Amino acid sequence: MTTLNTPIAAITAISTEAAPRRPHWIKRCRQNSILIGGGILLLMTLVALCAPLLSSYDPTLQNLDARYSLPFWMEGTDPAHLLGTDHLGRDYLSRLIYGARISLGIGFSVVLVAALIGTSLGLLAGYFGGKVDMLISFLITTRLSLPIVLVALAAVALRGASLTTLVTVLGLLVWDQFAIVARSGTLAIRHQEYIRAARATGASHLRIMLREILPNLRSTLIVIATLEMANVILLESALSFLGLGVRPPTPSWGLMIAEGRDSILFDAWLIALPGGMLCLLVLAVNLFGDGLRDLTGTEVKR
Amino acid sequence: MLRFLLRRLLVALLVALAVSSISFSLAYLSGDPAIAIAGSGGSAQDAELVRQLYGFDRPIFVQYADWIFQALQGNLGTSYYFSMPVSQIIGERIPVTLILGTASFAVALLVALPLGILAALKPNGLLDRIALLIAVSGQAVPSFWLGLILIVIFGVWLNLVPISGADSWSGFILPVVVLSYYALPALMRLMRASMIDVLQANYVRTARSKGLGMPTVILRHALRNAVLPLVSVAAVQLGILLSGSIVIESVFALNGLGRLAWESLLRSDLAVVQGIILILSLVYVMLTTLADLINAWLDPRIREA
Amino acid sequence: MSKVLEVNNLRVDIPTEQGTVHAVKGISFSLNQGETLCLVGESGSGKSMTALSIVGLQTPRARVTAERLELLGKPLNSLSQRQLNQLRGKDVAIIFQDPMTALNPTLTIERQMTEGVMRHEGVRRQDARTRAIDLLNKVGIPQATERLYQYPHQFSGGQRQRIMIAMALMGKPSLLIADEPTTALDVTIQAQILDLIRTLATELDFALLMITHDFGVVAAMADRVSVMYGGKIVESGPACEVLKSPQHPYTQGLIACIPVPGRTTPGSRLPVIDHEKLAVKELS
Repeated sequence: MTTLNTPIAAITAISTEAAPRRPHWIKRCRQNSILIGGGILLLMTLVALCAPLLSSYDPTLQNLDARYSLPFWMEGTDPAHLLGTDHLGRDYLSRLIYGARISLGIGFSVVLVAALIGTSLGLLAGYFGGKVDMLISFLITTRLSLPIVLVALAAVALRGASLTTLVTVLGLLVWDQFAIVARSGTLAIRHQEYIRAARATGASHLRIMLREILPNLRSTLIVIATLEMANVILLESALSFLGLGVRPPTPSWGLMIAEGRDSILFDAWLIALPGGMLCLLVLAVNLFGDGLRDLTGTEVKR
Repeated sequence: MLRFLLRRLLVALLVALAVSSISFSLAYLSGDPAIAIAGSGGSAQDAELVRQLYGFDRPIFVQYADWIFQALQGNLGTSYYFSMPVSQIIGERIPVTLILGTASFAVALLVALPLGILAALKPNGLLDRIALLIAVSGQAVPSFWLGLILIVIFGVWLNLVPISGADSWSGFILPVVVLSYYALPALMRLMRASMIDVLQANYVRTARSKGLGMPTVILRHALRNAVLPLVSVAAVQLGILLSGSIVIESVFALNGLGRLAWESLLRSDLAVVQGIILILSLVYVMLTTLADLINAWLDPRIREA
Repeated sequence: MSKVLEVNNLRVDIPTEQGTVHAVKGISFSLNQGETLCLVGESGSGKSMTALSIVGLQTPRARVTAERLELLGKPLNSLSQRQLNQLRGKDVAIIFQDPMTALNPTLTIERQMTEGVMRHEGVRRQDARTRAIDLLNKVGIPQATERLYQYPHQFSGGQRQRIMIAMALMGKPSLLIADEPTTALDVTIQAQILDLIRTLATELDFALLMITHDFGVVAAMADRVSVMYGGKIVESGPACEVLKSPQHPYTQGLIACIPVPGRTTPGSRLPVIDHEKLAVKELS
């Protein structure tokens, strides 16, 4: 810190702490995590959308003659099945590719349902306050008190497992974060001048909520949606793993892990592959969400 | 303080009531619980029999009132599968879940708090990066899958721990590792964020201006304020660990509440499922209430309100 | 009169993404026992940065250098963190701007007042408590004995600043730094707090470094005044002289900004400081 040719020899530093290069790092991390997360997410979405083009096998087609064919990095692999086949002789690569459809599709639709429910409730609670707020806050607390995996399991088991049921049940269970954020966000701005001004010009409550307040919550809600999507993907895989989510023979990664469990001692790759895909997808969604959160500067507890 | 306590307990009571009605009405999700219990193989006569036996033919409010009244006396109905009182079955299975949940919670806290604090002291330092890596990976790995992988590595390949069951304490090692890893990210991230916030607070500067050493400043002045937001999140995490161990219990074949619930669902033993959901929800309500009380004890500002 | 603080060519540089900000560009001043020096300037002039860097509480990123920075003859800029801690709260104490956030909300007043001296002088808690009660009485907190065990939120803003003052005086400091101690307070309370500080300074004979943007405060408190602008001291001298005949145009501007009953016409515009003109003058 002292320049050598300084005429004043006595110049010394009080603060020995070096200046952290924090801003650069943070900026780079944000960009990186959005780029990496978003990149993987985009790739997986493309794979899911183009599944029929990418896979040469029907993911549900059984071939009992070709059971437990090994993936390409092992000896004795069948070149026709790049990633081998499962206990029913179904092509594992095709099942993995179609599995992306299930994870992303369910993740996306559940978040859509949940966002709709949660945001509406949160807006109403924050905007009207008073008794409405008390009631909706009570609803949120009650929802938080329910053991989510168990209730989802019970509901799916009793309603019969179908994709629609799964999406509805999960959507009805994971709206809480949207409600909490929308409520606090609305509370924070509902007394501001431009809201009053809109009111004074005769705008209806609905119009104010949708046109004046909602746009302000947009970035926060998008962050919540991303992070919740990661949760939902994990939740779906857990339900499917327990046999109470996606029904066989539909290829879901969670279900594939459950099916591979019996051969865990000999063919660990059967669970390693779908699990790895799950990790990768959830990681990508989380990275993307974290990056978005830092970039937009929204405060989201997780 | 007394008013705060009473208000908090009243809310808890109301939530408990709402939760109980939800777990009660779960049985009606399938349309007719009698048919659900009688099973797909059961005839119309079987269903009718079940209906009368379980009182499903009465008006729904009467059924609910009866259920609540019985539940208040500790009677959660009878399991048709075990032909035993539900409360007794739950009582037999709950210790495993409690051990698993609290042990995982303790491990998670013991790792998350120090790591979060240290990460906050030097943001973007080496330790902070490691902590971030742990958090990010912990949030991405599905716990049931991690469980299976650990079973393969430590149980099968290395043969270090039993791969299922809880006959000895060593059977708990892997499940506790998996569950605590699952709970770790949320706790650590919050501890870190909260500590960073508090370290920038004016009162920390005041404390430093008094010539106190950094350890005193951090432990006495910063930490006490930094854990305030953590208490309620920790309570939620413990609740999730107790109720979310369902997947882990089935992976490691532990005979806890979660596994019982799952098995009961597969055999449509509704009374047991209802009972477990009620118990777990009540535990959650109790935990969050407790967290509020702890917060009031830690934070004099709440105490006065 | 003995010299308490000697500051020579103090610089504070803050490296940022857009390059280094020179917050304080080499200022010098000194303070004798029992003397009050006001550092005056608008926000961003570097006056608070100066105050904080004397006790080593500047933002971690900031780099502080000085030719001389001595408190009671001890060179502050070559002390270890440990040695610096032994001075803080004992030889030098500081009062901050916002009393609402400067006290720890989760600790009792007793704890916060006694911890410093218990550490520095090794006194027993009982003795530290007695001293705290004495000081609370002195700064005008009624029923000090009972209120000692209360928490900050149970006091008003003015009372909290009184407590901050009492806390700062626990170690019988030779130098008290007050960083805009009245800015966050109601106007009626401001005068009381200033009065209190002045009385205590006379009674306890400590040197007072007062940071302010308000020439009203200067008039009420200062023996000497240094006017800061853009990280430099542009004018200093005995307070009465500077107030009466300010030399530097910036000082003139600052003083002209104060409305004076009887002289300022109600409804007329107050003068505004023209920074561009000043900047040109600075360069020339």
